[in-house]
Amino acid sequence: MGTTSVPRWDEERRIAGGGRYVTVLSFGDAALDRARSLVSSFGGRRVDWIRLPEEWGDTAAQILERQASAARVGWRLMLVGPEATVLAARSAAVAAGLLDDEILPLPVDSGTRTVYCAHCHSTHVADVAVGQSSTCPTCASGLVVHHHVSRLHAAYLGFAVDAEERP
Amino acid sequence: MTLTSDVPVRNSAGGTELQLTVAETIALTPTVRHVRLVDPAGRTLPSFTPGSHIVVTCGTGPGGRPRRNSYSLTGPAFEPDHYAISVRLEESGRGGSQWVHDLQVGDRVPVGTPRSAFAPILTARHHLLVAGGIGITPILSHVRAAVQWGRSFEVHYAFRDGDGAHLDELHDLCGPRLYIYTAREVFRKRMGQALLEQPIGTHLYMCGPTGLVDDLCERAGRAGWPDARVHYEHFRVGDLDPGEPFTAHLTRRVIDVTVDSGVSLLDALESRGVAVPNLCRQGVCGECRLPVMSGGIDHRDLYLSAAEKEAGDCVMPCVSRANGPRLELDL
Repeated sequence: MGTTSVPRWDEERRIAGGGRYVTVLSFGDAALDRARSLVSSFGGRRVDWIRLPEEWGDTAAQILERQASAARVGWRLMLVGPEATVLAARSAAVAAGLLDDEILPLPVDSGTRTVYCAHCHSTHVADVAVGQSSTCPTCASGLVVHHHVSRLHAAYLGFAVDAEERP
Repeated sequence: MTLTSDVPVRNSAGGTELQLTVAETIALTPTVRHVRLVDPAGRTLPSFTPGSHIVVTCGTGPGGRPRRNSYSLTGPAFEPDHYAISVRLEESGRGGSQWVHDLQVGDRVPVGTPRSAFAPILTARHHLLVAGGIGITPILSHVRAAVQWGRSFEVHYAFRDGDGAHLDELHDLCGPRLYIYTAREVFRKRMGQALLEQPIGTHLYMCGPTGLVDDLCERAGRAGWPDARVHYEHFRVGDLDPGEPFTAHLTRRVIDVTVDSGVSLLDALESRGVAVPNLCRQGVCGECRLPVMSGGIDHRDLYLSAAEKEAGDCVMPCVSRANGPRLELDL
């Protein structure tokens, strides 16, 4: 796993210093404690905290887009929630013009992963570990969850369990 | 911008030489001359990235060595029929700018192929372009590309009254997106505001005197700009202190090279026959970087990051020196 694209979150918990103002997005109840202590850690800087549902969806996407389109350079974005949601939010933030340096991803423990089906190109959320399998709800392929994570799709790559044995 | 170099560039990535001919020279201001270079056979020249520069062989300097200066390309970048440079006369310089100012139509000029060290970031949502004086030259090439590709941009151009090169062309290209300044305080104040109000996704590009660039970098940092959004090109590096003499020990060759006060480590190595790839010889381009085994370093370049300087395992020999009696190089 040392050379895979699976996020090593300890190393990604870095953000450029000196931001002028900060927005914290927390996803789900499990993220509240972490978000609260984060928010209280910014003495003197302007901090907005927005609580959102645990799963990434249209509402969260619209709120992030609105925040980003009003933001000026000097803004920092902190994302607290399940890994699947944090990955999705980061992908949306980068699409909105943010740099990795301006985003602090803080995933809280969660067993769920977003899996991208290499066969029908859809994604689904499943409670599955890397190396285990999950059935694609769209095309019914049995997928093995590979240790490759796309930052763009915010998903683990899944491909047919028997892809290597097929004639 | 102007960088200088004494040594052929054939070792470097962009070092292929072109033999071009002067097609036109125009006095843009009392101190800036614009020179248009074409292929003698009328061929299209290699395309380049906006913000690129060419190394021009400006005759020979003292000691008969070729004198090489870098000049930003100001003209169109895609399959150009000419390369254009705008050169400010540096009366106290080494004579390269005087040589360019003396060029006549029809003169032959050897130049290297374009090198890109100041490119636009293609994912930027907005481009904040800032130029001081003749630093407008790479910015002009950014503007051309931004207009051509419909990118969002604005230009802030500070210059001494009466000495604003390319003003008419910039007005035509930018319209209301051009802000000009002839008073330093007005410029500083307006930039302070501009740094606070850029939409997220903006990248800042600046080219100008070291003082202007350093000041803006520092203020951008205070306004919360991450380094990755800030891009700059220096020109006119001031004369450096001659420094104390020291000995460079080359661990592979097992020789000692004495570096006298007032002589660069690069010059000392070359005079002992040790070839080091190099280009600008002013601590800007990064070409001559050498690995250091041991010994303290007085870093005086603009190329290495603070962390790289702190690590102390490499040196830019064109400007930097030992800060003790001895430096061991992995050479």
